[in-house]
Amino acid sequence: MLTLKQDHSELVVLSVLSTGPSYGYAISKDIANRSDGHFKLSPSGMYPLLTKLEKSGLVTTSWEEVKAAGADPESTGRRRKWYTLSPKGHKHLSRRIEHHRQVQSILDGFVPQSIPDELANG
Amino acid sequence: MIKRINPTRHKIESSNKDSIATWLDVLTGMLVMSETQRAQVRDELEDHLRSRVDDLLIIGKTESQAIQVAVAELGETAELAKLITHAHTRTHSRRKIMNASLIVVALAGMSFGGFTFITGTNSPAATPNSSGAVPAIVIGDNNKQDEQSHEFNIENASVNEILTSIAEAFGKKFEQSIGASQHPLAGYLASNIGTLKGTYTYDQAISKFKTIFSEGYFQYQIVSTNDTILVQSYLEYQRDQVETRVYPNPSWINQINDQRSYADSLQSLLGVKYDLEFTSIQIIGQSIVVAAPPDIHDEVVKFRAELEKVIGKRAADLDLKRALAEEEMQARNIILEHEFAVRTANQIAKRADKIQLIQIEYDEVREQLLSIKDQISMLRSEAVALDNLVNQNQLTMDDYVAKTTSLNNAQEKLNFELSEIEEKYYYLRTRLLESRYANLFEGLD
Repeated sequence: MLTLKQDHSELVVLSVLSTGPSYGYAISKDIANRSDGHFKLSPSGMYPLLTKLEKSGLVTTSWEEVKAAGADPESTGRRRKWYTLSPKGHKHLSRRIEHHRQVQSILDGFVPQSIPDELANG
Repeated sequence: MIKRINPTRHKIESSNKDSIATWLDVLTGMLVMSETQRAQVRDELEDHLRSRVDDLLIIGKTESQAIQVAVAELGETAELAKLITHAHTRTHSRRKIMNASLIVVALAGMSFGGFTFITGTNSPAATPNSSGAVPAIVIGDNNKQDEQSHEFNIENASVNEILTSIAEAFGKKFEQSIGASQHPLAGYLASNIGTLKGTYTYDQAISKFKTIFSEGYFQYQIVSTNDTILVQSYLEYQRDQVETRVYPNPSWINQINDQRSYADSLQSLLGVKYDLEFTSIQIIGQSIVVAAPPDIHDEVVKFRAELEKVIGKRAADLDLKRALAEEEMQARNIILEHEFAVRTANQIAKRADKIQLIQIEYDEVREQLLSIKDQISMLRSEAVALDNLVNQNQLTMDDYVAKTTSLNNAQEKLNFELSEIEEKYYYLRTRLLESRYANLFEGLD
């Protein structure tokens, strides 16, 4: 299990939100599922990050009332905060993706296609 | 389909307070932010926890296990509260200076007679603002609205009304903390009159407000968040800022008295510059625990770093001196060892020479001894021969007596020499042995 660094977390969370609105717990599950459990974004990293994204205007938020299955229809459910990528967030993500591709391409120029024998054996 | 609702204070689903609610109480109690924000953070974390618990129940955990795991996954409560507070809180000094292009847009907006232009989906409908503040332009991005300019035309209003107008213009709520509302501050806010005219960004409007209603004089503090302007009494603000941090004992302190004296000195030094009403410095175990506002913590950290540097340098100097002294001592030891080796070699050589001389003398004496013994032996043989000649009557008695006497005298002389030379022989032999094995006897004395 790899813990995401802050810089990567932002890219990953924005990418998750680019597929549609989501909420905190679903975002963390989505990250774990899409990385086959390799990536983990802890709540202590995710919620401050979501707040930062909200304050920077990269995401907009709205609230939904959620009721547990079988709950009294008259009762008040719990509240869920939804995050949606804003137009500014879309632009920001595009720039981040472009930057990511550039860095990856530069790194690929250094990294051999296969692991050299001396490294593999060593 | 998502049902959108207005953000209001959330009611917990279960009627009785469960352990999730208790944990949320603890966490929200640690958050330094407005009540509205606190409620929203609580709602969001509760949704996270209950969603997680639902998933864990599906995979077969008991309810208590599920809650335990879900809460543990959120990490250390105080740390989480700190991170969330930090993410929510912005101070005026950190706000960015308004972008020049936005000023142009804002000024352009003003020429349309104080109507709001809406480009976002969440903003209110275009309405003239009745509070005296005329929003020039509002972009759908709520977080940027602080950087927009708004025109204010408020004359002789209470400072309370002025702050409310600023809050409304920038899409915020104006709140007074509990402490502020119980403090004379509430009265000052209601009774002091001021005028706010001109076009300002949020930071500029707040700065201007502070010239009307002095922070220092009225002892209050404005805490701005994304959606709230919170007025706290200065003491309350200070108390809210208090953080407890644990500092390890400095490396050079070993005694409890030194630790006490260090803590006292720290408190005295801080007291020169700061009001320590909300500061407590305690010794707990091997740690100095400081509960204080962040600026005092910054000072403590600086003080400790400086002290470590000075003491560290002194320790390094001492180490250097010690290393030099050690090197010097090692060099001296090498010289002494060398001198000792030379002296020992000389002594061995001298001893060898001495033994050699004794050996030579001993050999000579031994030769003399053997020679005398041979001579005595010959004299004895001669005496036996004389006896035989007398018995066989081949020698007269007179000649026999004369020769025997001569032999006896000679033998007596040789015996005397023998005793002397034997004495010398044994003396030399003893000396030779002692000298040759002297090193064996040295330790036995």
